[in-house]
Amino acid sequence: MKATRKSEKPIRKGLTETLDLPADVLLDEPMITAEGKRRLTIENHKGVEEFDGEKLLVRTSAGMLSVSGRTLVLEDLGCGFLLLTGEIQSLAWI
Amino acid sequence: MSLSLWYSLKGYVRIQIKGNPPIRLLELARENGIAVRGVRSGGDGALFACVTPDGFKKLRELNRRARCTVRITERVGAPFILAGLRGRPMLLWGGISALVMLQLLSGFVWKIEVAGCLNTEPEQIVSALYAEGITEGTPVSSIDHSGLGDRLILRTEGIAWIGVTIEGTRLLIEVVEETPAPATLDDATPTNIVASKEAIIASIFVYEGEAAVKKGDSVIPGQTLVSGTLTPAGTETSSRLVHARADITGRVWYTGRAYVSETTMEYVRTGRTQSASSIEIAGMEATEPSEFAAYDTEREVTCTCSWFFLPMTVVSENRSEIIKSEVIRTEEELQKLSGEASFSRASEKIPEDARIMDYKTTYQRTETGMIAVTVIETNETISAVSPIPAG
Repeated sequence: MKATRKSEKPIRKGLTETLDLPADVLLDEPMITAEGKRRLTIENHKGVEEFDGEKLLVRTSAGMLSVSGRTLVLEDLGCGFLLLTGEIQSLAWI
Repeated sequence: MSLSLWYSLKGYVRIQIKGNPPIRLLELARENGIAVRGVRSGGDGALFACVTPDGFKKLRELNRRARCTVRITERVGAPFILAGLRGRPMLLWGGISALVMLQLLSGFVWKIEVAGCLNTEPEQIVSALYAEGITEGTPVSSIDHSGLGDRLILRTEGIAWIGVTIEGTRLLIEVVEETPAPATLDDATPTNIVASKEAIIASIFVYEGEAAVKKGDSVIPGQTLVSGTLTPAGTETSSRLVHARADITGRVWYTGRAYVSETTMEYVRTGRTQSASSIEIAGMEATEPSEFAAYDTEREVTCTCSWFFLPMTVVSENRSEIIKSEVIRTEEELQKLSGEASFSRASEKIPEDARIMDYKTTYQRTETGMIAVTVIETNETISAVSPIPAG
């Protein structure tokens, strides 16, 4: 998505909320979907900053997302999309 | 599972990445469109990941920027298996030859089975098949089994119908034999109607002949019920012989007697149990040996899956030890068992067309058990045809 001017951002946000449009497409916001405690998909991310078996740090337009747990596995690492499985214990925005 | 199968068919390599940090190389791969799967920690800061062989080649070029140590730990998939087979051509050709031979040989009949023969010899059917040119080793495609059943009937005797089915390499012949017609006397033969068993006449309708008994009369086997000799009143010498015809039913009583002992030996549980498991693969079962000589089993299927494409079932069993022990029956049990046994014995003698009107059971208690006597009253046909001797 091309860079937007500072003045355009509040307008987009207002339009998105008023017209109930998808925020992940218009505002480039990440979409995080959790299935129980064992699967987590993150779409629209900007890259993986750090990963070991117990911690994952992901860059997004909304900030840095930290996921911690045990025996974590990045099942799929595609462009803008990742699938994390394992025993997920917590998610936090840093 | 289908995705894993797809990756296995395409092939992938499992790599170990060490560096500072290893995720940097994977990020570079992601940005350059290289698909990376199954990233997991390998301890000591290393990561394991799976990439396609083409992806690995591109990854090696990207590694010049990331400066990580990349090592292949495993090669998985059909391309690597086929590459290994290139050095063993005889194994490959042997496998292909075996499959081709299996396909070719499954196009022949190797076994002939005949079912349904009661009075007919199965060899008669097999001989008829040989006469039709069908034996073990005949190609399945050459057998015209649409009209084969009819042709086999023409070559055999006593067969009403033959069904021919081909299942794989087996030729199944199903036979239905003829039911012989009952012997009958023609209407011109002079006959009497006699009683076939001891009974009391319940109803008598004479169509031809002269009735010798009436409703309520008691008759014995062989007694004439309807005479085929018609003697006009007043003339003792001139009589006419006819084929007697009548519908005669009578009340017949059947008796059955049974004795049931007060004590019996039955298997009872001792209270000891054992848990065991068994595995069944493609119809073959392996089970743990039991520590009991005799036992009851309660089975529960715990898992059904496939192992090397064969169906596999895992069953857990709860075995309870049983031993033979003397049990004393209650009065109600004695009455019930003896009554049922005596009724069963009496009803064994009753013909199919008889109608049960009533039954009564009497009981006699002895020192060692119970005797039951059941009498069943039926209403049934009691007539039989008897030819009138000539002269």
